[in-house]
Amino acid sequence: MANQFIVNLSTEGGLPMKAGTLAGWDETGATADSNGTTAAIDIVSSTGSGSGAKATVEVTDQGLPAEAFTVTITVGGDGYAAGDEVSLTGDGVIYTGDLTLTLDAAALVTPDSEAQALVPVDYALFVQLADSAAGAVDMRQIQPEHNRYWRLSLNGGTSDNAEAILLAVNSAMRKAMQAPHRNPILGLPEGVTCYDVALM
Amino acid sequence: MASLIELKYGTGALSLNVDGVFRVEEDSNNAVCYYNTPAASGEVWAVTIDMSENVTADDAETLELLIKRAQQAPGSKTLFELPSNKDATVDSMAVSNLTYP
Repeated sequence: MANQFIVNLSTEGGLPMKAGTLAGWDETGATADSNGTTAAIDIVSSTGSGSGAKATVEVTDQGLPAEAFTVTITVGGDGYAAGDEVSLTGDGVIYTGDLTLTLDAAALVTPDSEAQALVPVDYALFVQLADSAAGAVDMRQIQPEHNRYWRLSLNGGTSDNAEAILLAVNSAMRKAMQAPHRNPILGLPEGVTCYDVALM
Repeated sequence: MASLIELKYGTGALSLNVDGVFRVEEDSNNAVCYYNTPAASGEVWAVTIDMSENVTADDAETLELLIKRAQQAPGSKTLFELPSNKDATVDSMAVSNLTYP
């Protein structure tokens, strides 16, 4: 009989932006000043409640007909939704002005399509934060010749609530281990949602 | 039912499943728990516990004794405090494959 806990999945609090190159930016408000790549720039939300995302912008062929801006998302942040308007203000060296974009679903991480996920704890060892900002919690497990982890991807995690998040996941894991035949439900701190569970 | 030990963390404690642990050693001021789970030929999985204070060889020996007791009480969760510093908290835990000790 399996031991597991239940995670309610939700995208109500929004999603992080997907890391990597993101096309479709409106460049009409930006002027390329030189070829090169900016340092990570904060992505500012004009609408919606997303925050924390960062991107670099590379300018190539400045002043030529083929002049191009390439935006690479380096930090996904939290709380973004399709339809949100975001902008990237130039650093004054590589470019000036603003690049703007209306986010679509492809710009965001892909959430789990289920409403709930079952997380088995039969081989679990312990839980740990994937990063200091509590963007995810990993539950490590070992089996012969396999060292894997279940990753719970979160929206609303910050360095301030990271401890509470980790203790909440630890509590769910412990209850599932100690109470076979029951499926405890993970209770996350207020404002924190889980949008994906995956075995890594 | 899993045998757990608890390690102080912030305002609470984090659990470590110690089923299968057969040896605990001090290494580089950390506690290393060896599991009876093969990782590769001649190697087993191990969990390295990094505490906020240095772990001594005596601390590791105490932890091994505590784990042995916990393993005889399935479903238990026993709090482990470093004998050399009871205020110490866990900083991190990490899984690695180590040569069979």
